[in-house]
Amino acid sequence: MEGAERVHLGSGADGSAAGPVLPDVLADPCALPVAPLAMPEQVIETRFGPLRRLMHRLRHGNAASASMDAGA
Amino acid sequence: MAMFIASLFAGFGAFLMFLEFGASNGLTWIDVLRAVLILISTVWLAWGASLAFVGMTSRARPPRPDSVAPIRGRTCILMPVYNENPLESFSRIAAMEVSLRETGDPAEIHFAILSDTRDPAIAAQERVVFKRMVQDCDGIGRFFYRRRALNTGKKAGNIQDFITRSGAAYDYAVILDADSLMDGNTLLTMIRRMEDEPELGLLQTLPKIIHARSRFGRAMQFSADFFSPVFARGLAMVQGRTGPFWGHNAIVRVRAFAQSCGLPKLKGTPPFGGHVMSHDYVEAALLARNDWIVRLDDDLEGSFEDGPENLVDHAKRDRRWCQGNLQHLRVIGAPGLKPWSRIVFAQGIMAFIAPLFWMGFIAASIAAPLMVKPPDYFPVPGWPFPAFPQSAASMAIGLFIGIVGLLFLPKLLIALRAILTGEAKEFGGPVKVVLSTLTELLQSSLIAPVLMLFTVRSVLQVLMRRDGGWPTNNRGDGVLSWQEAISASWWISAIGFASMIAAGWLTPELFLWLLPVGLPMILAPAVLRWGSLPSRSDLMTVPAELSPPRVLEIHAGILARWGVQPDTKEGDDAEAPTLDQPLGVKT
Repeated sequence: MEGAERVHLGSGADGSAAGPVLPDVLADPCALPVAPLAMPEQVIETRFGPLRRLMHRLRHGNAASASMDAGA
Repeated sequence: MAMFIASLFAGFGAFLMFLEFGASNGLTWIDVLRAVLILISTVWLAWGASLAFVGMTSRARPPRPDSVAPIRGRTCILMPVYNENPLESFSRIAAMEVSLRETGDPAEIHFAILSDTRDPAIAAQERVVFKRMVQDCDGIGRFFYRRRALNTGKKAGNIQDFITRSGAAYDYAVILDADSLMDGNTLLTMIRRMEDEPELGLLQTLPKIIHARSRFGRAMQFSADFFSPVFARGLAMVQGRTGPFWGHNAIVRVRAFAQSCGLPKLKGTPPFGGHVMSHDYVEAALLARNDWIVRLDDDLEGSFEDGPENLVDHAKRDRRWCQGNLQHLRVIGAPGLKPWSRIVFAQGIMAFIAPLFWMGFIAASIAAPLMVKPPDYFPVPGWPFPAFPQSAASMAIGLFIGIVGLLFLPKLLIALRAILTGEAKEFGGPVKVVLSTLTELLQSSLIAPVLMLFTVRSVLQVLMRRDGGWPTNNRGDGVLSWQEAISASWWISAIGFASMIAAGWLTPELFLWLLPVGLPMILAPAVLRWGSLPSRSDLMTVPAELSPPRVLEIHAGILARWGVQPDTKEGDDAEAPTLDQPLGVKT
């Protein structure tokens, strides 16, 4: 196991972990193990369209371009 | 880079030839427009052909010798389902479990059914079949099932829910589709490759299509088995560490996936905003952005999926992919992406807008005479002898042959190569390979104009911001009645009729040249219906039919034991699972 702590398997039938789960008729031991792992939200869109980015870059030079896409 | 240059060279060659052809009777703006459309279309065709040439001139080989070391990490095989027939899909999980067990490898591998099913009746069936499967496979502690109350984020959200709930319990996750089937040895090899290369974030296999029965389905199956590996190898060679992810039949390193692939909702509303639909391309790009290797290992056999059995199902699936790929216009400029990731997005977008350029070219060619002045045979006042326009027919024919060559030549060369290397034996021998290739070319030429119009409609629907939704895949025997075929394609017939009447009236000299495009359009309902009927030909044979892989045999055995008819259509079994021994689960 790389970088993630091993956690207990076979619990969590109450659906208390991330996300809503229906009351499960398939209780232990067939409910998913509770072993949360963070999944940070990624930046996949630029804040501005290509034209605005180009204009901004032309006006402010390349140094400013990083701030347009902050969070990468 | 050489591929880019070669494609551009071919495109500009076609562009200049067309301009010269147009100039023969006076260059007009419509000639320039047509030349530009030919330029774009030829670059696209040449790009596809050059992928095939790269694939043909390289060999599939493992990235390094596969180790036989004991597997240390824990793997979960994930099958997201959404209103699928649980007997069909869960039996695949059971088959993979048996196939893994037969290897005798003690690797710790679990199976999780991640249900996003909305239909309560199907959800009830899922629970019954799951219990049966757990009992059958003695799967307590290794088989898991959960159903989300809300299917937020669709398949990507389903996987994300698993990772955030249970991801820390696993090192690797094999992501499947509901119709995926993978051999146990292949799964173990994939896990070992992940263990051998700590920087490998995602490993994609090339799934082969199985279980096809219809004429259309078997042509797709043959194409996927015979031609696609060569194109895929070309893709693997050029994309290298920034490879593709097709959303299933792939393994991911859970930690890398969690770190890189948390997808936000895109700004605005569908079709361009909202949840990312074609999430797989985006996830591959995000893994590569974080310097994880994403790779297609096309040497891996034992990876299978089902395909659509008719053109309507194919078009429905294309409609979803079209919307998803066009949505990538919003993502293509995302900060920090590798150049290849951006090219992959552009390729995906181009795959759907290319038919628009062909359509535009045909329409402009039919309408061209309206824009052209009649030739002036006496341009010099007072000169008694006529000056005839230079004939450019041979150039136009040359251009036509060149474009058709880009379409057909790669497939013909793949067939030739298979005969020379002996690979043809796996497909029934050289004669069968030649006949199957010619039949596939004929069949794909017949359906191409129909598919072109389906795609054009999909693109226009997306551009008009009509959300196509997310219909369930219709898997099954897929025979279309005449009524279904007509209702799906009457408008294609109407466009075909109108185009051919316009061609006959405006450009009678083009009428015969346009027949190969116009006739299949006019006959679209017949094309749809004919393609959906069961194939009785012994052409288009694939290796899995001649020598079924073990996992397919196991799967067939399980289906028989569970009392499932292989030809059951999805809608037919909506009442109850046909398990011979219902397990009395409270639903």
